[in-house]
Amino acid sequence: MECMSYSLRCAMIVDLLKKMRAQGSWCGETHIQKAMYISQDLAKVNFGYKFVMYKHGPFSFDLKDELSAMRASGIIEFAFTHKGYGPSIRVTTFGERIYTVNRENIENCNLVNDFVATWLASSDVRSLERIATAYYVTKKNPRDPVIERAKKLNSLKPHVDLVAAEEAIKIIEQKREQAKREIPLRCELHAEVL
Amino acid sequence: MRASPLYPLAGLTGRFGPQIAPSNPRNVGHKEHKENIYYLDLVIYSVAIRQRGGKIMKHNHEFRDPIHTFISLRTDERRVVDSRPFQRLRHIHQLALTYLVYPGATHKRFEHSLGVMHLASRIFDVVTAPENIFDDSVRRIIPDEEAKRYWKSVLRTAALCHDLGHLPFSHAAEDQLLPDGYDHERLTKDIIRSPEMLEIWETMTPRLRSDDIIKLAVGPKKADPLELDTWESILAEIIIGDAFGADRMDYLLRDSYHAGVEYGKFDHNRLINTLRILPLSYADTDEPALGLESGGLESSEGLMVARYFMYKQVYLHPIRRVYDIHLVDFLKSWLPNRIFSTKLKTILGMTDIEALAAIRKAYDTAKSSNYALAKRIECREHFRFFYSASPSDKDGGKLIPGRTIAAAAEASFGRAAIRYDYVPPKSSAPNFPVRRYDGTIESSLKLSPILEKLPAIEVDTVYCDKSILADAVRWRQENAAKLLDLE
Repeated sequence: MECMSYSLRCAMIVDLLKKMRAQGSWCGETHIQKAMYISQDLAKVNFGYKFVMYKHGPFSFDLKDELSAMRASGIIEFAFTHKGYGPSIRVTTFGERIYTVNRENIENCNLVNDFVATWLASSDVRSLERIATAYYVTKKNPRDPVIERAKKLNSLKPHVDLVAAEEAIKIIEQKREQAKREIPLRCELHAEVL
Repeated sequence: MRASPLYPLAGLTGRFGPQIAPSNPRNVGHKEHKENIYYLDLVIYSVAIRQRGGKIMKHNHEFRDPIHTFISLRTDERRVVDSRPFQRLRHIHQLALTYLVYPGATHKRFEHSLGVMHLASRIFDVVTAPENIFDDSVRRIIPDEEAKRYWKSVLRTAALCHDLGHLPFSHAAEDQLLPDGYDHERLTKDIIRSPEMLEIWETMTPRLRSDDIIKLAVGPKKADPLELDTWESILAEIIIGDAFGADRMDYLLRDSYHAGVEYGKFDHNRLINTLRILPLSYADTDEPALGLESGGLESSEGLMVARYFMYKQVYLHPIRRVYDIHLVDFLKSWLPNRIFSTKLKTILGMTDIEALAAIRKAYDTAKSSNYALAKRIECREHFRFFYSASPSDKDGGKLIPGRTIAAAAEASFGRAAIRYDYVPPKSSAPNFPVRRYDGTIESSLKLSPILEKLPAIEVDTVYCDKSILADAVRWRQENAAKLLDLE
């Protein structure tokens, strides 16, 4: 898979942020981390973010650095809008400009971001952690029975009990099937287009 | 036998000192003298634990250290320090060629690694103390006493080993002089799994698993395919965490001390004493994370401000950075196949000493093909910077303007006369849980405007050969705005 350029990656993140917000998401860093993890996998495009098991499930240090760089460049900013929550990420006017300049080149990824935003925007951190970790475990052990994957999830995140883990794995099964239907072969084209 | 203040090694046995204390320190036999020199930096006071057959056996050892005063370690940890891979760190400069700009910055990875072990151990004791744990979600992840002893030993060992895989001159040459897929963390993993080190882990008490050492030494980002659970992630964060990892604390304090730059200081003792493992209740998750009591918030701000100034003043100093580039130029030309070997035997035999000797030799031989490259380093004939991006340079939509300037400058002046340096903005806003006086938990970024507002630092600089500096400056004045779509 080809790796996207920095400008396109910025535009992709801005696109995801805008769509998550439009669906009512609070848009903290955890939301972007987990949504981008699933988005990158479904789009079959290498955004250049390597994910490992860490804070609240799959986590990319590359993406963390990228968000930091985007904040430094004035593309995004932090805002404290929800009582009790940590910072929420907002797109700035400059970020909108970067998005506009690159919008055409990321059009083929729109479908994936739409799908992921609709799915995850209303989730809180607790359920994002469950879902993204279930996705991670399923991706790594696709042929294991549901219960085995649930046990694996529980061993990685002991505060997620087995019942909740099993439920999360089943949701992933359904969503992956739904993604296959709703985001057909177009995903395969992305790497060439981008 | 009693140690005297004049001769602290007296009275100790075996490899740790002479068996019979000389009445006069000057009358030390040759063999004893050699041993004492070898362990000159290991000051052993009488902390003898037990006696066997009239000989005193020691189990605790201490290093004198300019930052932490004394650093203690156990006998089995001494085996790690005495190993060939660890002793090699005595010859790897912590800050590469920074000493050409800050002459005092000649310290090595060896003492830094000891310092990281010392701080990590202190942090572990604070965050696992029962009186510092307030929530069941945290109590659940803390193991029982026996497992705690095991993990403390793993943590200390991992802290000692976290830099074992560094190439000569630390980070300076790493990106460009290793094959794809390799970095110093991967080499660190290879060394921790090497037969020499496996033998040490086997004989330690408790016996240590090499995978556990690796997880904590390189952290979740580089441990792949190993996976870290919540407890292991927190322990790894104690060593290499962004917000208050022992690695960061030690290098800021140590680098500022040696460079003679006061900015790196902060109240690390207060910071360590206020560290806690806390639930992230404000973020709606049950997974605990490393955070701190609100009383330590100013110390944490102090660390981040220190980091900011150290990056501005030392680590990203433009002349220091261009010496890294010249060093890479030389090493590329000098090394077989233009890259470092990843064979452990070769890596372990390669330090700054070998590379510096090669630079001196090339400079002493005017006919050497590497003469000009060596001369840049030996005679301070480094390139000069003629363009450094300002925030407004991005207004035309080019997010990395220096890259555009460098490409155009190369076309005008030739590739040999231009060098480009880019470092993306470093993360500057650590988000961690803070426990307030009323027991509620809040995000650090919400409580601290300093942490939230601290600017990121970016390097986007173009250098040119000294001989064309005036032309390059004139060229930049005439062309930069057009190249960056700012007209």
